[in-house]
Amino acid sequence: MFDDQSETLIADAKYGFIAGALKETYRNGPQVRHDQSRDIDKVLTHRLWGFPVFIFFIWLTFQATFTLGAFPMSWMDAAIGWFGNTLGSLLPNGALKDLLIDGIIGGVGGVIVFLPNILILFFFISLMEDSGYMARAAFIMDKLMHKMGLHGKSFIPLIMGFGCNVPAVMATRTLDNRNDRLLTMLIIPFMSCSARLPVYVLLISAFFVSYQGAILFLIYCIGILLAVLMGLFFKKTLFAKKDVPFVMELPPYRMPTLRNTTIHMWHKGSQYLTKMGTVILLASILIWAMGYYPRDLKLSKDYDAMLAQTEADNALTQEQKTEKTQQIQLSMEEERQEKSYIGMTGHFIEPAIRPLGFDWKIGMSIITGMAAKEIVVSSMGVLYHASMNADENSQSLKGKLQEQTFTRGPKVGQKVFSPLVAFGLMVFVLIYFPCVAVVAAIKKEANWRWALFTTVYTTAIAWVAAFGIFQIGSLFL
Amino acid sequence: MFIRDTEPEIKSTRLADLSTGSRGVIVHVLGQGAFRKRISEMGFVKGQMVKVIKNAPMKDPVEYEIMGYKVSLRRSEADLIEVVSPSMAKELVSHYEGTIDEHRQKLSGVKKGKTITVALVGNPNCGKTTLFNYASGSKERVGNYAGVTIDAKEAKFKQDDYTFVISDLPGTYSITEYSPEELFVRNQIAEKRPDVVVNVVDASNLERNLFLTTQLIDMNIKVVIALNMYDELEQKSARLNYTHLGEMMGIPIVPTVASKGKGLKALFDRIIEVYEERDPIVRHIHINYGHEIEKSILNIQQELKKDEQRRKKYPGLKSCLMISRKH
Repeated sequence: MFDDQSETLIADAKYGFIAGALKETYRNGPQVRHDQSRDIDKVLTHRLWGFPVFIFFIWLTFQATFTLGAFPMSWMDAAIGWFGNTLGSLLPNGALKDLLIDGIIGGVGGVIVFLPNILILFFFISLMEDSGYMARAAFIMDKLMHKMGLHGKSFIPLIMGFGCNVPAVMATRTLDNRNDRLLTMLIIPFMSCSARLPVYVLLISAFFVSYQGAILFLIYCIGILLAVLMGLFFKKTLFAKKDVPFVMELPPYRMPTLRNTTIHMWHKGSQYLTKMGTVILLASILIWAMGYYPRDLKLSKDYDAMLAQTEADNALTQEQKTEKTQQIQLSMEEERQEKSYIGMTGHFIEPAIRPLGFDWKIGMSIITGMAAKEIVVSSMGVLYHASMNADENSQSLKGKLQEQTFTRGPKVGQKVFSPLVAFGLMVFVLIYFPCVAVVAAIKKEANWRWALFTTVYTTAIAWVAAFGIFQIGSLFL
Repeated sequence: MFIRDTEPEIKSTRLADLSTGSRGVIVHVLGQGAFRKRISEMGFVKGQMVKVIKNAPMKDPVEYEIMGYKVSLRRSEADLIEVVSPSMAKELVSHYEGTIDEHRQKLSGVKKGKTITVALVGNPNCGKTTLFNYASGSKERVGNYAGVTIDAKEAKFKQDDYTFVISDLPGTYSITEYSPEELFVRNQIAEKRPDVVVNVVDASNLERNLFLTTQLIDMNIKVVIALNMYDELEQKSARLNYTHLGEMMGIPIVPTVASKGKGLKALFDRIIEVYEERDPIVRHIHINYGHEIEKSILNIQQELKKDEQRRKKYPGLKSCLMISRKH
């Protein structure tokens, strides 16, 4: 009898007690009720239909979260823009105005822009959890995910990562085990989110004439491959000790209630605003301030005088005036940014990124991209003298990128960008530092050590990957 | 290997080898540590019947039915469970040693106030959070406890003259140290000492849900059971004499249907009764673990008695709690 461990014996005795107590008090129904859950499962976990149905649900969730979510996002964007403009016309010029409009309102905008995504995603997650489907999703995906050292439930957060990493990190809550949760969180940044897409589109359309779609696909695949490799690596190293048994209940299907789902959604949204919002806001203001200060710069030219001169020049038509004014303003902004703290950092890290084929302007763009990766594009717009508000379709920015030459260092005069450098940059942007919002989310869901670890290890891998691409590629091209 | 002709050997196979639709009775659980503990807490104990429901589309994991609920195991794990065919398993029924009763009311040492702190515990999917949400509206605030990333939601509301501060603890199958969540729940109960613990039990899956209840019994705290989803039990036209079950366990049982808000008023009325020590059912019972284990527990108790410090430090330890039996 005592070849068993004490825990098992106690569990045996407890169940014995329960069985005895129920024997006296519980009578089963006259016949076994028709098992509805089994009928539903005949389709939902079917050998063949299980996957298409699952993929459909994931697709639906993804579309609703990121496509439907884009509408309220653009309304909010417009509202914030209107608010900023209105405030701008009321306040006197100066540092306070810039802080309020660009720093704080911009930062708040950066925080609440994720809110529709989070609310919609958690609406769906709550439906899946309350109905009992989440456990089935894990059931059918577990074999595949287990091969990568993950849990069946890791699949949904990872897929959501392609839309936005922030709600994806929050969705790791569905995993019961902390180690599984951490592991999933650590590899979510490799899922290329929609904010990285403008960078790819810009660089691909500027430097890759043919095979554009294939290059884009390749970038996404690199991300997935890295996620799998790093997942296996972390499983073997950081989380090697405990492989928690996969004993997962498949609860009967139940109708989710609107009340509960709404509460869950609301809870997640407010949690995001209070716990992560402040961190994201502070970080955005900090990055804004680094690009804004110092203000008492000695600029190389007297731009104000040049602007006044243009305005007074009667030989120019109104159109020419506007054109020239814009050019002067752009030059002023470009020089001001170069001499800001971010610009200084860009110069400072130049030796570190030169082996990757990057110049300081790229360095500076990727630093500004820490706030949100799509900012890389608008920073390039200013730095490469193309436009104040460049987006990925800006023809002038593409042209400027193609013409750009090194202004310093051993390669003075040579072109900065080649397809190789552009590819290396895309891979770098894919992998390095997930944006501050993701770091804030990881800090909230795990702790600041894991958040710090994520920033360091992703940036290190990004550097190594871009280094490899540039150095090895240079040998062949 | 030679075969003894007098005593036919009972052939056991591994659970992983059973084909879909077939049944087996557990004879032995192999493996160590967390796995073994977890699996027995989930009801995989000697003598239980397991049925293979289906394989996942990629043949792994496998869905099983045990104690009337469904659970999935990876093949590698099912391979650690030895089963025999039902016909061979006549002598393997779990033994019921009964309980050792103490007809003594549980008294709380604290002075009575009009604020009752209530902690909700229960298995995942038992409707605990639904109950919490219904009782509190959406007025919860999320507590953030230093060092852990596990949330306990807290809400305040009034019924009659009493203010309830209820906290919704994470759903667990057990409160040993298997996972951080379990440890968290255990610490919340042992250290924060809520006035009354509400154990939410899924009426459609009594056997496994009551496992957690037996652990609460061992902790010697005031418990009220919310027998949730009672409508599902009624729909099956099953009968449960919950009053008698409550008497046996020394824990009052109130049927509820949390998703419709049914029975919640009665539940909180009962909590007041228990809190005010007016409930006649509440008493401390001991589950009899059988002669050998009881003897060992007694030894541990005597060791621990020598060490008052340790006893104060770990009020939640089962072995420590059993000391109180001798008082």
